[in-house]
Amino acid sequence: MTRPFDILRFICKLLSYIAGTALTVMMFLTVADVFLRAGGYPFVGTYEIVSLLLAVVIGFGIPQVSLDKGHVFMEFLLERFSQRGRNIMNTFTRLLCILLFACIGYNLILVGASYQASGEVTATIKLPFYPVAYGVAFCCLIECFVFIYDIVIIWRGQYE
Amino acid sequence: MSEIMTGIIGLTVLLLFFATGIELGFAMALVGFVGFGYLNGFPSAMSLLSRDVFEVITNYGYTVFPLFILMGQIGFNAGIATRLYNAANKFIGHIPGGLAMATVIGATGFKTICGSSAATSATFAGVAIPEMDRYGYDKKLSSGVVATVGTLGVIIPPSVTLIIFGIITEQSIGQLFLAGIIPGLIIALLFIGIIYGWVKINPAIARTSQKSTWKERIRSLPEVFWVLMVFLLVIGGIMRGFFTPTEAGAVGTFAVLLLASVKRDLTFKNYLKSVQEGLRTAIMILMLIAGSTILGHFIAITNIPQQTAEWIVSLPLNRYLILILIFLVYEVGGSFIDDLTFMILATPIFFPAVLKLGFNPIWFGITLGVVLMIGVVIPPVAICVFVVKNITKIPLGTIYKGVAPFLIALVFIWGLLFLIPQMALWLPSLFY
Amino acid sequence: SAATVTKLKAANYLPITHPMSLLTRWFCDEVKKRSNGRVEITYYDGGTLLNPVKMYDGVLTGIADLGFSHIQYTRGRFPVTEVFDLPLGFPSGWTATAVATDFFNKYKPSDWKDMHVLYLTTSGPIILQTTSKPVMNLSQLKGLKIRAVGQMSDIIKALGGVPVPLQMPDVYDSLRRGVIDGVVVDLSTLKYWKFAEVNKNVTADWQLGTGITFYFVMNKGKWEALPPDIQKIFSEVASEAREKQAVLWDKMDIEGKDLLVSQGGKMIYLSDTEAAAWVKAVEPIIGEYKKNMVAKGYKEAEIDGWMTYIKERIGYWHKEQKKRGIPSAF
Ligand code: NA
Ligand code: NA
Repeated sequence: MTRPFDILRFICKLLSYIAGTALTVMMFLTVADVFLRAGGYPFVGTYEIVSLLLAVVIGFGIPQVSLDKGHVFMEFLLERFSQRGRNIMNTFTRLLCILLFACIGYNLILVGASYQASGEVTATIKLPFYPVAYGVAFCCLIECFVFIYDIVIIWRGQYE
Repeated sequence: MSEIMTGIIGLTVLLLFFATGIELGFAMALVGFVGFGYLNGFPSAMSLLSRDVFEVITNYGYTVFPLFILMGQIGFNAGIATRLYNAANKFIGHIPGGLAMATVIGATGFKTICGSSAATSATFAGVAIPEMDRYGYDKKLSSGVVATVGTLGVIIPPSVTLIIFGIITEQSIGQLFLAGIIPGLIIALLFIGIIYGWVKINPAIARTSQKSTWKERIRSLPEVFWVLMVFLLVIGGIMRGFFTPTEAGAVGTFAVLLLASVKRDLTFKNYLKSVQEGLRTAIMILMLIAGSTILGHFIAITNIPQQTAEWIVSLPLNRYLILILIFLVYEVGGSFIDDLTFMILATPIFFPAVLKLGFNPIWFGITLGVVLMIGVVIPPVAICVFVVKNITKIPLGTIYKGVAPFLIALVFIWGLLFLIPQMALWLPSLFY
Repeated sequence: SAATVTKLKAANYLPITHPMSLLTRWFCDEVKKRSNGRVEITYYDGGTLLNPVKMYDGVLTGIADLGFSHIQYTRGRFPVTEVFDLPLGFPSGWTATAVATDFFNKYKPSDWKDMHVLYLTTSGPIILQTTSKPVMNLSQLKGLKIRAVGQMSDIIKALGGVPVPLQMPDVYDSLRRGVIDGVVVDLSTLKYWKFAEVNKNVTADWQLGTGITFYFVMNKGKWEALPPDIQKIFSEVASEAREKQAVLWDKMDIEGKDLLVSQGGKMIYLSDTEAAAWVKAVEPIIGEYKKNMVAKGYKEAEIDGWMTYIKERIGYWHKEQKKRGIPSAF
């Protein structure tokens, strides 16, 4: 079972590097636009590219954050449970999260398909939305695997 | 089951859910999703779920989170923060709680630029708390300051909250901005006073340094000169209209990056580390916002806000009591879902009643702002406190011990605004 | 009996105090009244259920059953109706709404095949508002930073300005600080978005006459499930609401204009030769639209037919508005 999880960890890392690159590009693009605008030649697409880049920054970064337990949660009650109780509770919440992200991911594919079919684009420079929707949907799938990984290590006694 | 009953059950389940150790943002999304599906059919709830998420993560305004946090992290990893605190210590380290006071001033200025309470708390949690740590500040004090100070900008202009309030209620935004200045500054001063008093009473919570000579102080300045120039540049750029506050995050990051590169303070590895930290915190915050957006849409169709509003307004009570009840609804509602979202939801319902009860709309806007400030730091969903906890791993109990005195100050100012509406209304009356 | 009460949800993104939000509320109440309570529509305004971008899809997927928004939030989604985004010379919202209604009834654009359209309504002309720099001619517009999104950004570029796309809630503060020198929107925003506080000059370039086309739509399944007599009530009330909206456009524009003047702002009118120069400058935009539509498989003659029809209808309804004595800003 270790090998598939190495691959999973690798994919999460890779996605988070893509997110980091998007963040860097977002910054440089905005700065370039500010300077160009001051000179009277703004790059009109900045605003829309940056909005789509944010989806990459956030969407692609989610699996790694989950892997690192970087989200906000409360542990005060859980801490009073026995190890077994904690394991059951954590497994239960992981399963719910799988359900949640499966729904989000599946529906983002539908959203992407509807963007693609209707030809909806960003207002000014007409960038298509659908590749971003598909990309984030893929990340939701990976996020589901992160939760499966969580469940496996919970019962191996390696969680937290 | 009636809509309202569904809503109440949904919120109860949510509270129980929080205790299971599930990620809060995901819990809000789940409850919102299931509740919405129960009331309005699951196909529409599926659509709502994915579109709300997509909408939040493609919202240009939210770029402030990764960018401002990145700026802070670069500043921290390049040692800029350390030099700033060293210099600040030379100047005010001998005053009890001096560095915490400096943090209040710095964060208030920072919030004025970036406009987001959570982004301010996130940036300062990564930068200021380790620095205050180094100078022997108790975590109670340092985390309490950072968790509450981000809220100040709600009423200090420019404030997105006040702009949206002005548009919803047809009030002059210029007047609202002026009205927020004095109460905002009083709160900042009160925070500083609390720090002073607290350290005076309990000197153990903050080590007070030896007073430095002017020679030492001046010698510390070249170290921070360029940093101060960068901040002046960013603030000046916003004031002069070269860029928007949202863009300031990118400009500031770029400037700090440039400064650190020129001075060879930042390795590529440290840059990567800063980016990862910026990502992590921004994602954490946006997942909370996404969850609370979905939950908010569920709450909206339960009609709980409307029903509660109609009920309260119809109560045969003194008008001040009714107003206090109205504020309590904002407090509770804003505690579950994003404060700004709840304000947009509730204000149209309450505002006509507030006018009918004869209260000044501008005063109401500012007083409401203070209520929302309180909402950001009190449970169950206290975004600023969560941010600090998540970044610093300081236990919630410790943070709340630190937040408490500042929270009391906010409640005090809120009461004062009731007694002396002129606090808010005097400044605009000079111009309008 | 209570069992036959149809419960629906209507959504609008405009704030409760906005007259167009109140009109949607009127629609909901009126349907309830005329159906003797057989239909109950709960109204969610201020974007509390759906924001303008999500409106169309939200109604399509049943998040709300009825929704009000405009087509510029979802560019590319309504390609035929986007002909109304072009600078075709709409002199007023009343006229533009009448033209849009005729156009919709005559051509039945395939844009709306998945939805029941209660009505379309096109706003009064998009007008240039500037903070401190008055624009009396094209050379004064040169290099000014103007908030514009979508098609309007191409128009501003064609006129020599520098388009800056910003979100509507950011516009006020950006004007105040000078991030932008102006904005192109309808005159009602002077009042309802508080722009009269910061914009002191309005250049009445109505001869360009680009409007924003709003839609009030209903989920098709929900529409088809209604009994015919209820459908008839919906259509009647919708038709009345559209007429109220048509008059409202001009009323709001006049309110905005009056507020501007009362706060010391200045209305600037273009001379005929100057206006002709503006109209000429934006001509390529129309050619660009045609090219894109041809690429999508529409016939050039067909598109020319739409434009001719629209121009003819503008002439007809503009005269009709004057004849009926319906007040207008221009
Ligand atoms: Na602020
Ligand atoms: Na709260």
